[in-house]
Amino acid sequence: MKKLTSWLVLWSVLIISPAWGQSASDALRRDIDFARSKVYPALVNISVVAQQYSGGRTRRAPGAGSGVIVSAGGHILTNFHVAGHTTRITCTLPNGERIGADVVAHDALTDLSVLKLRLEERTTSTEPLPFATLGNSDALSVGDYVLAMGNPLTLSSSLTLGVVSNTKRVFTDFTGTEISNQDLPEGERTGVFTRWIQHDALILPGNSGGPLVNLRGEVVGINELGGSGVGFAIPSNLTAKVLNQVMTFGEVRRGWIGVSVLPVEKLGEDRGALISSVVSGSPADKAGLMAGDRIVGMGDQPVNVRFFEEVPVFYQSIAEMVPNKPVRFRYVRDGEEHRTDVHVVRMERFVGDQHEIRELGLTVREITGPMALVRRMPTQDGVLVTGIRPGYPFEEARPRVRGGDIIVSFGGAPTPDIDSFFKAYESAKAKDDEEVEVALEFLRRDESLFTSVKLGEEEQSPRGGELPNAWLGAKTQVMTPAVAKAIGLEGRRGFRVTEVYPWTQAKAAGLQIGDVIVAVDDEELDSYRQQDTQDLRRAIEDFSIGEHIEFDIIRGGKEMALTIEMEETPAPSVKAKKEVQKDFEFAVREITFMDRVRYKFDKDQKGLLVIDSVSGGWANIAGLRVQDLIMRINDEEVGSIEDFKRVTEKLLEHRPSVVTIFVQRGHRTHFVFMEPVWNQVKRAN
Amino acid sequence: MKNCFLTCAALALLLVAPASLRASDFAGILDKTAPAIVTVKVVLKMEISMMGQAQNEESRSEMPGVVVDSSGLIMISNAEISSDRMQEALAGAGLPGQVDLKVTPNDFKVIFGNEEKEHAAFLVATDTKLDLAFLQVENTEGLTMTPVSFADAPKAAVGQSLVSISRLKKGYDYAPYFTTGRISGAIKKPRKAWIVDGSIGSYGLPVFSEDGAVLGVLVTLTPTTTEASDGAGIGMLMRMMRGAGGNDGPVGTFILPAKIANRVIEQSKTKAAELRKEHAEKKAAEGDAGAGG
Repeated sequence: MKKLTSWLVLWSVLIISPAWGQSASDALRRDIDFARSKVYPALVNISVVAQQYSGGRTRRAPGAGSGVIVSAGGHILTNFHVAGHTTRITCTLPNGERIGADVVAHDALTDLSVLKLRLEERTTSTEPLPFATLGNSDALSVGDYVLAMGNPLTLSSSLTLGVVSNTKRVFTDFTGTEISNQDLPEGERTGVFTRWIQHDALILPGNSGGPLVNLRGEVVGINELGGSGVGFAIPSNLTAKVLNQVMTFGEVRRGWIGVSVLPVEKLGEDRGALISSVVSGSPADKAGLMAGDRIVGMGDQPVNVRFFEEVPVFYQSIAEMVPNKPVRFRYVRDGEEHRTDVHVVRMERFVGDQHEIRELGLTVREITGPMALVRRMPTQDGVLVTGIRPGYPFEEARPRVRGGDIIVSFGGAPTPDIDSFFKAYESAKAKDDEEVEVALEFLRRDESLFTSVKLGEEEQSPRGGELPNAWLGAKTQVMTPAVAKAIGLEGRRGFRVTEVYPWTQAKAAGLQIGDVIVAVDDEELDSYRQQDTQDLRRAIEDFSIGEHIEFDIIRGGKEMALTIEMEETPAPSVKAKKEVQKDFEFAVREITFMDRVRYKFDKDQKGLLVIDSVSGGWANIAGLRVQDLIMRINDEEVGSIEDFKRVTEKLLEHRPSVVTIFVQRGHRTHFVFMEPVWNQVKRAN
Repeated sequence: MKNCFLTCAALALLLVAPASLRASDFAGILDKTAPAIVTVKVVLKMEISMMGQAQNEESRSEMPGVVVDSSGLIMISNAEISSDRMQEALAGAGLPGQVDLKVTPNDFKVIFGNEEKEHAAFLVATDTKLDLAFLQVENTEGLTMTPVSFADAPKAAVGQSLVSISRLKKGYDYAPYFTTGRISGAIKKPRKAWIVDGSIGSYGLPVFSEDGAVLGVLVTLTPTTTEASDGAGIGMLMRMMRGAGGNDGPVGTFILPAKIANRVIEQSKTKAAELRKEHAEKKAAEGDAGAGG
């Protein structure tokens, strides 16, 4: 009976687990393979050096994402949050080719960037470039299979399978009463025109910018967000619009009128769009539109925004209006329908670029027209302070300048924009780096304030350091009763020598390991407990450097005296000559006697110890670490700060693409390859 | 008869008068030493870094100092211009080393007596262990120096009475005043020094015997080890605050014997001369370059 049941179970499992299912899964597998074959060859890994402005300086960090080649000419689609704010972009093709890429255009509003491969850099292959085709995202239905492809590391590719969960996803805040747009790190708004394709193909961090592919092998979306089993892709139809604009104009051009709208559902109406806000001074404002009006027609099209999902479509229609051509708007106010002509203008970039002026310790941002309008700044003239770096001239200005202030003049010259600011700074600097105090005017909300900044080298007063003490070039242990007994000196007190340093007076006088010091300068050492450990050192410190002091020691059971000249404590690391390399952002110091003893360097070992590697700086992202001993830079030995200065000056002059730093790290040696982007390293004069 | 009576009365008065200093003696020491006590102003730049985040603060600080050489060498307490003592105290109390406090003194100015003029000075040397720092007034033209000499100091003894001179701050027009105390004990570790009883003195300033002879200088010394009983927390912070003067905290107040102070004073004199020479040479070199270039 048992046997029969088990056979029955077995057969039923075999029947039910689809022979039908088997061919269905085979078919799916075939479709997946097909789709993959059409897009995989065009999938690229994008690695970048990302640049962020924070704390008054630029910080760099490596970054990575995915992209897909969409033209034979090498155009790549990816996310703006992958490729925006970067200083170097390198793409790796599936066949292993590594090629640089340039930005053609960014479109933060849709979080898309279009790059172009530097095809002239292809050296290993002459095959035509593979590229993928964009499909029709409007044809997607909930339940369709989609593949998310990405290339998180250089050669590996990931592919995940899921279904479309929602074809028109928008994000509202948690109350569901307002569309919440994403804000990118620099403050750019994004997602205004996007209705995302929500799916459940697993998105991993490296997938950003990678394609969402249907089973026909067409790219139907660009993956932008994801996590926790859900992914969101920018629909290919929106992407195609952006791509076409970029390929035609080199940028995305949009119309703008200055309204924000809400769905009319809550008003109990079924047509129109409710204006929730009008930007003061905007085309809509000038045309007489007001918050509360319900737009029912634009141009010759009716307007219907009943639900939040229809808001991005509304904005997209405005974006597609041609600037400087008036558009007839029909709207309802207080129950009556009105008409007005709105003179659509070109949508300008909202967020201005940031710039760093390193010598001042300042980062500033251009003020764009929209920024000035929306933030109700009194004027567009001026540069916006975004960060002040501690320890640099701008921090010392009194009254203080803060982030959010707008600098309107520098050294007497007006600074309505970035270029005039740089010009004013250059002319305010004195000829030969002499110190000069420069006045500047800045606005803070409704106040206009004056302050001054000191430029140039500060007059350095001489400055002394810690006074050196007399020092014995040996290590000792206090002779406890146990130790004394062990070496046959029961009842005696003092210190047993455990190490004698090379090249010292102690060594020269003949002090040896095992000697027991019982008196110094005729004063007996009453030291026999652990807490007496410092007694010898303290006794010696009271002597003057150069004095000849008699040490009573016991060696091999015999009492004898050694006269040792008191020498200076070897230069501590704090006194070693150091140099801060501001361009590559790291600092080194010369190695000291104690370093040589500790690391067992030769007396003649040359090298410089890294004492600082600024996080996000060029040396740091290349992997140079604190405590590395730099022995050679681009094959030149560096032993002294003079060597170092000389070699780095040469580097700044010749600007090699790679700087090879040979270091000792622990007990191994290592090569650190620094690849600075030279026009970022020093603000060229 | 009358003479005898008078003499006897005088003798009796002498016998009855207390053996300690009379008011006029105190005043005498004050008058004699006050000119050597100066006021030092400095800008302290404090950088507190905690878990990778750094914060900068700048503030002006004022403290008394003493002229120790006619060249214009001034001695002050090192703890007033550096965070070393505080860091040692924090480390000793076993607080996690996540908090890094770096104090950089800049822009020294010295005020003699209650004059208005502020004389520029530079830092010559520090001795963190002994808690002393030395400044050199850059230009001593027109100034009369009345240095306190720490050489040839007599030996001190437990029980001995002490006098110290200090100055109040600008708000009180730098008024000089004295304080008294007694040597109440001696330590051998971490080094030889006298324990002091009474609210005597300011750190970095000399301490005198009743006869006006220099005995030493008031300093803080870090103990060899910190016991668990010292503990962290409010109690420790309160004990660490200056003015408490007690020796039950992480650092204690002691009198450093004059002989030891003299050693570092001599070292600093040499160093000051060196630095001056170096600086002058450097300026001359720059001057030449400027003229030629």
